[in-house]
Amino acid sequence: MDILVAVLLAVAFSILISVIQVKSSCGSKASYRACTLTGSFLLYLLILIIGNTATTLLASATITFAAAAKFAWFWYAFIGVFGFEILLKNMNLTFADRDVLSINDWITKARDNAVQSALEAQINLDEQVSQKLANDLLKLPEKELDTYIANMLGHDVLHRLQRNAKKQNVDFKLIKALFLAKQEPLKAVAITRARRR
Amino acid sequence: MNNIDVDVALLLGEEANRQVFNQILKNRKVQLRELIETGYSRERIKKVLTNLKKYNLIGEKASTFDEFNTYYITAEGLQIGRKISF
Repeated sequence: MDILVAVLLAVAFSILISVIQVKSSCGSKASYRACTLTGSFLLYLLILIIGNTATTLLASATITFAAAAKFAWFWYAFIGVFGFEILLKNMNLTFADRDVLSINDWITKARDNAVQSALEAQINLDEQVSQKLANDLLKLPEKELDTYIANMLGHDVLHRLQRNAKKQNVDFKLIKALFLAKQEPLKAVAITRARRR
Repeated sequence: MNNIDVDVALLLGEEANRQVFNQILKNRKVQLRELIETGYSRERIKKVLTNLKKYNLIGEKASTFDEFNTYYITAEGLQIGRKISF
């Protein structure tokens, strides 16, 4: 029973460690949602779970606590997870006296891929927010939208957008709404909220 | 494992490339309009970004307006970032 609980705890530790590692590598630039909902994150998590579970099982097979010891399951998981960290830093795969890959490099690569995927996911989420905001701004009368843009960004910007829209033969109102949503997202949110009241 | 590709070393040996790469590395993701604030011209920045993308050090997500194009650090860029110190 202790071993089963220890393995479950090792899995929980793995989830915690992987989230902290990826989120801290992204800094404030990616949300927890963007950090964790990617295939690369799952792969990184899977590697940590396998490693931590293996070392937890190894700890439970080699370390014997006194029968009266309480929370043996906690110590198996704790020693297992830290044991895996030590293994990571010290174990290399070698072939014909050449380093093929150290486990540490392997895990770092998986984490770097998870960070890259998190950043890509966050950029996509930001784009979705901008599109939604632009759609809300489109509900404003065009003259009102122009006034907001001229007031916040200046007439020059308005003229530049008009020139670009003409040149590219695209919807001028949508272009203006998108630009405002991207350039001044907080102010755009305030405008759409004020409009709803 | 610890060696940097000669081409990448030469690329980052140039001040503008290194400065832009460092800014993206530090901030993780940056829009073109923020990079232009580094003081280099838009054309220069775009050229630098093309070079960094060529070596897969950064990635790009295009936007409707190029000033909102977002550049982010790739797994390769993170690895290179750890190997060099500015």
